[in-house]
Parts: sequence; C-alpha cells; structure tokens
Amino acid sequence: MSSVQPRHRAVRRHRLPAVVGGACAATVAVVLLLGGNGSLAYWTSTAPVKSGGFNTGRLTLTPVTPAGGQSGCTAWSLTQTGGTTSGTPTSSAVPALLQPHDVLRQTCTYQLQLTGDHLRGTITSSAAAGYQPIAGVTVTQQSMTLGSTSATNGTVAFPSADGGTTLTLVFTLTVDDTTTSQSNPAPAYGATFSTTGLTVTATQGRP
Amino acid sequence: MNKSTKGAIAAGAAAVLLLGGAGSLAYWTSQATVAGGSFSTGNVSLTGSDCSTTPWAYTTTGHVGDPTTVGDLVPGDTIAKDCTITLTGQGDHLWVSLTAPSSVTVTPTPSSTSLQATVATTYTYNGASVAAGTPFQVVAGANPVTVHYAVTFPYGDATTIDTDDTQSLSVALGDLNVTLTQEDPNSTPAA
Repeated sequence: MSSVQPRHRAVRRHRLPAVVGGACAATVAVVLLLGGNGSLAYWTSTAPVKSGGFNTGRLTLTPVTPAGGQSGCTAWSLTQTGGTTSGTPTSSAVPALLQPHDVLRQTCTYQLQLTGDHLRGTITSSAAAGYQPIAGVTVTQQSMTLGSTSATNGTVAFPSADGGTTLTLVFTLTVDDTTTSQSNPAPAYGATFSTTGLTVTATQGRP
Repeated sequence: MNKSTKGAIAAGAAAVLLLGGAGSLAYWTSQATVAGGSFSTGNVSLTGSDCSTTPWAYTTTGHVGDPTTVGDLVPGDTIAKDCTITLTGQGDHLWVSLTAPSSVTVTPTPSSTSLQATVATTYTYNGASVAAGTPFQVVAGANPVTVHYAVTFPYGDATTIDTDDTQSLSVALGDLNVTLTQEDPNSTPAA
C-alpha cells in the first residue's frame, strides 16, 4: 500500500518586475550603442542676420479750441427757444435751465495728423446715430467735414480727396418735449447732465 | 525502469559506440584580420550677414497712390528684404533644412509695450526656392543662401486695438537667427 507523499513545491524565485527589467535592458542598449565610441549627434549651425529696423507712423486728432470753448469745441449756443412756443431766441446765451424744445448748437474743430505710407481710415462721432447724455436729451451730429469732403452716413474717410486735414463737426442738442406719446420724453425737472460721452474717433483701416 | 531512464542509457551507449573507434570531437578554426582603412567626415556651417543697409520693400499692396518706398509703417504693413548668408558644406549625403523664429526682438524708441513684429522666411539656394524646414541637398563648397526676410507690424484686434503707444517709433530689430539642421540621410528624398 503506497502512501501519498506531499508534493514539494519548487522554491519560487524572486523575479524582477517587468518595469525594472525593461529599464535595465534600455540601459544596456544605450551602453552598447555608445560603447563603440558611436555618436547620436546631428549637425546644426546658427547664423545671425542683421536687418536694421523701421519707423512707425502717427494718427492723431488735435483739438483746435476757439476762445471761450474747450476741447476743440465752441460753447453751446441757443438756436431755438423751447417752452410753449418755439422760435428764434433773442439771445444765443444758453439759459441757466433748459426747457423742452430748447435746441443748442456747437461746432468742434480738430487738426488731423497723418503720418504713414498706407495710413487710411475713417472718422466717426458718437453722435452720428444720436447720443443721449440723459433720457430726453439728444445730441445729433449735423455735419462733419474733412477738408472739402463731407461725411456720408455720418462717416468721413481719410485722407481727404483734397488733402485737407481740418475736421469740422457741428452738433445740436435737443431737449425733447413733454408729450407723453414721444418715445423719448423730456427729462425730469431738475435733472443734470454732461456731454462727456460725446467723442470723435479716427480709426485706422487695415492696409 | 521508466522510459526516460531507458532513453538515457541508450544515448550513452550510442556515444560510447561512436567514440569507440578513436574518433575526435575537435573542429578547426582560424582567424584573419580585416584592415578597415579609415573614413573622413564632412562639415557644414552657416555664416550670417549684415544687410542693415539693404532697403526694405513693401509686400503690403496698399492703395493706389500710396508711397512705394518704405517710410513710416502703420499696423498691418509687411516689409521684406533679401539678405545673403553663406552655407559651407561638404558631405556625400549632406541634406539640411533652414528655419528661423516667427518673431524678432524689437527695441523701439521711445519705448512701447505693445509693439510686436512677426517674421516669415523663405530661402533660395542653388537657384531653387526652399521653404523653411524643407530638406535640400548641400552642394560642396561655400555657396550663398538668399534669405527672403519679411517682417509684419501686426494689425490690432478687438483686444489690442488701443495700442497708440506704437506710434512715431524708431524701431531697431534684433538679429534674426537662421538655424541650419542636418537631416537624416536615410529619410531625405533620393538624389
């Protein structure tokens, strides 16, 4: 009667993890590659090119401020007296308090400086489509002229056809009436405002 | 007696029989030295140039009546000039490519934080146009490479439109470093 003997398991050998094994193999490969005084290089060379430089142009609008005005513009003057009846004012002086239907006017003048071989563009104002410093008050661009060229759709292109560089704009300021049917009714009594948002912008176009 | 034991005994007996006739396990070897001779390597290098006095020319079309000579640039303008550098090389399978950075340092006077200048280069070598980064074979000796060097004063966009500090500047351009790189002769086009 044979007895069943327990089977001896082979002693398990400790094996290197695959990653460690791979790293060792890579190292050996590099050593072999470089062992024969081989080279992994490729040739490069860099040389400087000196090119000098260039100059840039200039685009500016310089206010030409008349006596009594500011920022290139005359003082506002009254061109129509409002109130219950419209009509020509007896004085151009702006009253201390505006009233519905008052219309004021101002003229602004700038000198356009253009320096640049391909310098072209357009000039617009924030009042071209109507600027409202406050509800019920509207500033409108009545005209804009560069040299002898008048604006089209509120915009003028530069340089002007005649080479003129004087830009002149006329604005009117209208206080709307109290009619409730108007979409822009008159401002509330006692309201104050300024026209600091009234701007003129020259924008260079892509050459 | 199991099969393995029997097989081992049979193999041993066969070996004894084979050697029984005074046979030998030896084999002959011989070595000879091969004289490999020697070889020489080639060379390649670029030599730069100073073409500061070469005038710029507009590649910007502009408008009818605009000046054709370069005076004062505006945003969106591109100017270019040809500068000649020298490629010296020797090598049976010497293929190289040329590249340059896409921008160049600018030193404006007065200072400007917004000014940039972008660069594009193409090359002419041995009578043929070569695009940047395209391999070409070097003709032995020192030969000219024409660098078509274009500089653009970028037009603004919505975020950089108000860059008035780029006006009325005198701008000095830094060196444009053209780099030659030898290409793998096994992966370049057949000559």
